[in-house]
Amino acid sequence: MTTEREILKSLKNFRKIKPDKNWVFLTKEKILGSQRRIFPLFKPLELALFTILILVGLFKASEGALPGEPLYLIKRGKEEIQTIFVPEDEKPKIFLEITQKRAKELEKVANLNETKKLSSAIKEFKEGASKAARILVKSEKIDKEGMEKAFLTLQTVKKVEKNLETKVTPPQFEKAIEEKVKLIIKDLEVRSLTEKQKEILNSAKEDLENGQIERAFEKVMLILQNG
Amino acid sequence: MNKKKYFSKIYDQFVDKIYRFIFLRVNSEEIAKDLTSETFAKVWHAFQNSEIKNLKAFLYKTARNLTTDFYREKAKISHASLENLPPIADPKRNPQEKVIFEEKMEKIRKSLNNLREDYRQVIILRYIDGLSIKEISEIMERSPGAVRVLIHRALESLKRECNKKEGFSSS
Repeated sequence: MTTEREILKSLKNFRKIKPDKNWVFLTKEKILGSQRRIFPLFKPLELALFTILILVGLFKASEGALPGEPLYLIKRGKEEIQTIFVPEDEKPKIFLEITQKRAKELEKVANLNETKKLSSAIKEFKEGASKAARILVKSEKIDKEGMEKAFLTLQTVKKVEKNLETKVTPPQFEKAIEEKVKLIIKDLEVRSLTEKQKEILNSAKEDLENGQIERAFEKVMLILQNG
Repeated sequence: MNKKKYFSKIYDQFVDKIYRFIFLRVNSEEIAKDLTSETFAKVWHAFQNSEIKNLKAFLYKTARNLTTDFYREKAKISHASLENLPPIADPKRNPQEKVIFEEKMEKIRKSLNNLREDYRQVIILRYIDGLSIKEISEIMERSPGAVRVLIHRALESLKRECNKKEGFSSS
């Protein structure tokens, strides 16, 4: 004799009857239509995290990219974004830093001897240096750090020019540097300097008068570094 | 929450129940899938175009009507496909107990199948899906009192059917 309790207990076991999961998913897709996602494996939050990870990975990988390489566009894009938020008085330093990077890339590419990359690297350097020159002309003063970057850039590019036997430095960049060197010389003239420093400063002024900007710059930097 | 998101949640919540409700009446996986799919498609269409106060009751009512329509068109399908049903296995039991359990479930299923249509519906809604008297009364469009009487009679009838079957054991 089967009791009511036993029947009720057995009936609950029918709750195990379920349709297969694939059918459940596909039927829902069919009925609700646009439930489909581009990446069905990811939920929106996971997709956002996945995208961020990919972008971070690409940014990291692009750091060493050289002109003419696919990841170089990402590197330049990242720089463009960074410069948007730079305050006006910080701009000379940042743009000189970017020009210095372009100069180093040019040096690397010149050593690799890859023609296609070389033309891209020269173009990138010229653009970077021209932009830095425009910023330098507009800026009233420039700090020691910025001048150091400008000096190192000039040194690197002069080495490349010698190696390639071609002039790549835009004249406006040299002109902007010259103007800044003149300003620093003026500033140093009213400062109390040691006899040795005064001697170096006079020599720098002579170089400047003779059009030897790089040499004048080098001497001015020497005083600044020891000052 | 927009309608599509809301209905998507309703679908996830009720698809198993509606499938089971239909399956225990038609005793065929394929037909149960077709009718479940049709039920949700119809309800989704209605839900988009009008306001439905009790979506749960509306789902069950639609499933019930579609199954009834199906019976009208295809008489005796229930008995014809009963032999091919998959067993309801309980993984916790040992092989011997599993066999006894499956036999017992099969007998209950056959007994349930032999009940009158409204008895079978009310047993599924009350004791398998666990719906309240009020919810069943909305689905079956009967008063709560009438539902209580129906449940009592359906259970008595199921008990008789089960005890008719030779060798039924409560182990």
